[in-house]
Amino acid sequence: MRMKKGSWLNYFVFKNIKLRKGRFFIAISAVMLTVAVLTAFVVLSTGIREKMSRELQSYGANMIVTTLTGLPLKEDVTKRIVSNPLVRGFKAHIYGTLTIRGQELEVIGVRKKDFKGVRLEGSFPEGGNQVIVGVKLAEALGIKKGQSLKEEKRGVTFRVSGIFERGSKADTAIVMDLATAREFFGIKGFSALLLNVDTRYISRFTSELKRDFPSLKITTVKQVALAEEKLLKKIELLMVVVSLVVVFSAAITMGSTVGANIIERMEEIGLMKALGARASEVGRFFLYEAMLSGIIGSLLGTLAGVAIAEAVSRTAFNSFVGVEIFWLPLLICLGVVIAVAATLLPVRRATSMRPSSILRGEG
Amino acid sequence: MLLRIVRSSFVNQKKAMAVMIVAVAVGTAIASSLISLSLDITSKVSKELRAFGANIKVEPRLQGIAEVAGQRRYLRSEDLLKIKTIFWRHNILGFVPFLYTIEPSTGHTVIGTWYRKSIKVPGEREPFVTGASEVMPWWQIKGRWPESENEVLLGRELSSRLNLRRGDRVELFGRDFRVSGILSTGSKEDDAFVLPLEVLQKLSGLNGKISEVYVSALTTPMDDFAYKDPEKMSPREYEKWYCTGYVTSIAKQIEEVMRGSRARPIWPVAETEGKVLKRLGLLIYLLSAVSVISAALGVSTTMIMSLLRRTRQVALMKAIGADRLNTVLIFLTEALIVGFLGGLTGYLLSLLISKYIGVEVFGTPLRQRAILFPLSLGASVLIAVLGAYLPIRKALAIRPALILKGE
Amino acid sequence: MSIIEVQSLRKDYSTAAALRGVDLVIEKGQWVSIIGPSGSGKTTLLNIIGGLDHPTDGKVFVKGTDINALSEDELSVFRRENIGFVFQQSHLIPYLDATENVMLAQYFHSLPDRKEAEEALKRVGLGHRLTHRPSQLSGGEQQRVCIARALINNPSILLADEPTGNLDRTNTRNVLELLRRLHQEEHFTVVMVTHDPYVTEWAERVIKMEDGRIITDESVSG
Repeated sequence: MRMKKGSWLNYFVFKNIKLRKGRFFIAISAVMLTVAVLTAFVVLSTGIREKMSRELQSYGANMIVTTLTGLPLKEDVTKRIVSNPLVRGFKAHIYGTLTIRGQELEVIGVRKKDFKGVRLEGSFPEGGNQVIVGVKLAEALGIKKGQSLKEEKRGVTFRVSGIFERGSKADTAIVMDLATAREFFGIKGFSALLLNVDTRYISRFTSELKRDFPSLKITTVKQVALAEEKLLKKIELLMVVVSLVVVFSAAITMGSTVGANIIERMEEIGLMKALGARASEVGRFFLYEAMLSGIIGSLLGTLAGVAIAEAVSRTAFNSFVGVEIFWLPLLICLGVVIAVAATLLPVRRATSMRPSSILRGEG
Repeated sequence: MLLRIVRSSFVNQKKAMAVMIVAVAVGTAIASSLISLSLDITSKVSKELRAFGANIKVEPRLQGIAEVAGQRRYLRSEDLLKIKTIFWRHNILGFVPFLYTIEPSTGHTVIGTWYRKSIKVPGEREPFVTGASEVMPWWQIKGRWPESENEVLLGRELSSRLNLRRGDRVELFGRDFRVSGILSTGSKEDDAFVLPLEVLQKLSGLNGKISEVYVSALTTPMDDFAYKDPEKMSPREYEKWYCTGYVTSIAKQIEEVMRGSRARPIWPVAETEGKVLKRLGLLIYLLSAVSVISAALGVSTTMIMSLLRRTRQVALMKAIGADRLNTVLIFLTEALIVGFLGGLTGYLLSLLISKYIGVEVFGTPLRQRAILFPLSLGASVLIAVLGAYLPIRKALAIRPALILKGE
Repeated sequence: MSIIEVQSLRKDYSTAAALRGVDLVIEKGQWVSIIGPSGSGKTTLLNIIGGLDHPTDGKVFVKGTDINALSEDELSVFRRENIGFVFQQSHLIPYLDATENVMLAQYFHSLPDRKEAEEALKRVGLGHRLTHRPSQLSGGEQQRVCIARALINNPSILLADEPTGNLDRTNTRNVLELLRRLHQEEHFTVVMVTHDPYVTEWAERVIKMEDGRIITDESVSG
């Protein structure tokens, strides 16, 4: 049976792979290693913004939405605002005042889960008639945990379930559970919405919101928004720079592994030339093998890389990181390209040398 | 003789040796620079996190309900300098005093503060530059900070409400001022006039008085110990707490030097900072570990690939009568040289890389740790030797004739 | 008609001169032995004739073609059409068996043909070693594979560099007898480099070289 020329190429290359499994395996491992590191860094670099911005939410909202009229925000408006994909997180507040010892004191109604970035001695108010008091207010009035406070206007008595410290204006206020506050002040909806918006699109989001709801008052908390964007950019830059350095070096070690294999096979190249093979024909032999190890190694490498990225993300952020699928074929291609380049470069050098000097062993 | 064989081995196989040395060098470089990075990341990032503003707020201690609503008490300007004399003075990156007053005829808020102030700290040669420009980098001024005694800065919202622009005239405390710029900060200054602190103190008759101070300090992230109540600590615990740069202990020290003050951590900032540092530090540690492992594996595959061919040479040496010890010695010497040269170049390379990463991302190079030098050299020699050991052992186990025939 | 013509050939290496002006004409079908001590330039001469190396100066015409004027790739094509090589170190591909090593030469020339390759191996007396890998063959057997490989594409010239250098007397004799038989059947030209006077006994013409020059050049009858 006569075979086509291409099939013979197959035949010779597979024969080589079969009898030199060890080397082929090492070549694949080298490619896999590089692509795995590459994939892990790419996945983490692209996911880091989302992960870190979630951490940074505890600095507080970067946008505060209230109404120009001072009336509460309606529930349906709130729902539409927070369902925007640019909104990463939100808190709702209810504001009111209590009259205690003849003085009007500010009250903030907030959900327990949104009460963060605070030091609390005692427990968050549960059910009606419990409040916590800001530390500045408590110190000024000599209020202690467990004490009772009498609201003079409505004649209600509250029990102080804790003293909190935030280091902001809230330290002179009283905090209630959101539901209690709503009932107590008879407010439907919310007094204010505190948003964490994707800092990259904060101005777009603001103008959209102003267009859709002209009666809203939108304040960007510059302190948080600007600092957040600056930090996120920096972390992204860090990831990119580190990725570049690591991937560059991984590519070099991979190249040197593959290259070492070629150096070992110099004699073969010299012989092929002596048998009358053109440079391109010799190249085809090695290219084919490099493609094979490149493709297998890259496929395994992307899988391993995603696994590494997820493991790192689990450990550092307690959550999985999203993988942008379009990167994967790109990474596989890159792996193959590096494998092929690392092979063809030394092969080209060898084929341009005189066969006599290779065969003499000067390679 | 041993050295001669090794030397000729290097001369005759320049390329193969070069490949191995390059692999070891690159592996070492990457490992060592990433270790530098992970050792330095917390201190670098905590500086960056100061962009979120002050983490300690100093106010007068309030007494009585009346003082909650309307401010009557003040801190003293002359105490400000003392902030730079506390135990953790070098961790104080900046502070900004504020004085809040009400303009009597219009009822507008007028705020006095420092924007960029150079102060002389006792015992320090360099002047200490502080103010809102350092502590509150998000402040934006269209125009400029008041430069003479009759210039005033106008908050963005107030400016649109009063329909006043840069260059317009305005009367405050019965004196004529020119608006030198529009300030936008996203907080209460947007709705106020802002003057240099000393100017406002004179105008309002509140000489040497300030309402509050914002302090930006580098801190040690809070741990379980830090959350203990200092008042319930044993003297030894208290000393440990006092001498650790927790945000609470620094606040305490500031409170001690500023008369009549209460210094409190700004918890959203202080807590997030610790969390971010922990997460980011962990991320970088893990990435470094991944990179170090991959570098080690990468170097090993190269070594093995290079040394597979060596089995033939080992066989030849056995054939010409070298005993096991001699054969092993020759190859180990070679591996030592490869490891040493690779490690050395790698370490030098890592100095460049870590400088690049530091400058590119944080504006300052990463700190170089001397310990990394012996560590890099040791690790690369070890990997080179291990990489050499495998093929040698394999070669020694096989009868020379088989290998020499070309198997 | 002369198949190889060498004119005032010089080859300088960085350290020394290997050829210092060699003129040589070889007729088609001749069996020529080049003998000389090591370092006399004989291998260099052979490599240049085969296009494996370039001369510093001088001209080489093979079958009327000035091979110095050819590019690397043209040289490769020229070699596969016209020249077979046998080296002292057999230079067989270790992962291919005997038949496949011969087929590789066919592959670069045109298309591999297993049957033809097996025939060629049978003709060199290796019918029983078709699927053995080089490491499983003796030195003499390896050289026979090389001869089969060198002749598979019917070259007009066989260039052999110490083909028996690694063999004992008996094997040397066997290999040379084999070559003589093939030479008589197929009439290709043989240029064989050796330092062993015994090997020259098979040649029709013996050229002696020393220090990069031809010293004597004599035809031997029978």
